[in-house]
Amino acid sequence: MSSTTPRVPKGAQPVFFEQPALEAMHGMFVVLLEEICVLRDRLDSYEKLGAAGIVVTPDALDAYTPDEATEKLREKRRQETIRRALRPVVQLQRAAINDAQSRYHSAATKLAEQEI
Amino acid sequence: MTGQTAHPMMPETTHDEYARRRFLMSFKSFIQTELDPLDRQLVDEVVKPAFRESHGREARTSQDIRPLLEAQPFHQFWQSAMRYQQELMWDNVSDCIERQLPQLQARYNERPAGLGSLRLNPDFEQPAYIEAFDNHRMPGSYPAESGPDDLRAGALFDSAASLYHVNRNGGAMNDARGWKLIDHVETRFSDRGCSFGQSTLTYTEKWPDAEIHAIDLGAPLLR
Repeated sequence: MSSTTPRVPKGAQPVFFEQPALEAMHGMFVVLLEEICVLRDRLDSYEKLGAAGIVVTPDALDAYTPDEATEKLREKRRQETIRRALRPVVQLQRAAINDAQSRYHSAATKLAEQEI
Repeated sequence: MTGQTAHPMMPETTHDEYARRRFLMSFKSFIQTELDPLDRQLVDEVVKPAFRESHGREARTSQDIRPLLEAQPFHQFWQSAMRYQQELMWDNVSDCIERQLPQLQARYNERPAGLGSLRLNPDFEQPAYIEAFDNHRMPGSYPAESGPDDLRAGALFDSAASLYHVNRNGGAMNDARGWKLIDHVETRFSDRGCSFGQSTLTYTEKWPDAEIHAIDLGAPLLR
């Protein structure tokens, strides 16, 4: 890699969380999630080559092209992995929604208890 | 194993490079189909009512709801996920290109004659909106070059744009289907902001007798 090759975009670096360190950690998490999915695909390729009686080598893996059925299964697996990994994030949304709903509920209850 | 070599100047992918691209598509798909609706629900059921309560009126503009929405942890994760998906796209594709840049460079240097002409202006000054920050969060953006024949940024933009659009922008060539809007062609015309030529190449196929001038501010893209 050339020492002059830029790898970080120029300009303001976004920080969406309250702490920049949290932003960076989230970025690290996404990379790890990616690598887990890559490893899982590689393992699946191992199994496919093995089932076909092909000796597993780096070249054999690079040459392997999954068929449509395999791609579909891998996509399903990836979506499931991502869903499980991001479940705590979805829980944050549910917590925010439920708080709003419970406040609505208590307001509605107060209104209902007033004399007509 | 590649999945997306639309033309000879596109890099080949190893097993894992291909798998990374598939992850990025899956991740983006998950964000759009699973997280986007939740963000929308957050706006409708939490943010807008909160604004109404504190301001005594309905929120009218994005500026109205923005501070409240951006304080929500779920929305922060959503924004950050979109950001890292985009940055990983550039990073992963950069790795792939760096690995085979000498071969891509050689293919460029040994290109057959008769493909057209290239005229570059070494004294061209980039406009402020290009100099100030990197569009699309593409490191180096369009004009970044390490030498007079460098085409890395062109290869990067080509490959990443194809991945970004997932063949939905005119198939593997990613030509944006601009040719569909053209019902009449003069004997010569210009393609301005042609980038690495994804639309231009399709024009040369559709109108092989036309003289086409493709113009861009990125020298490595034009190469």
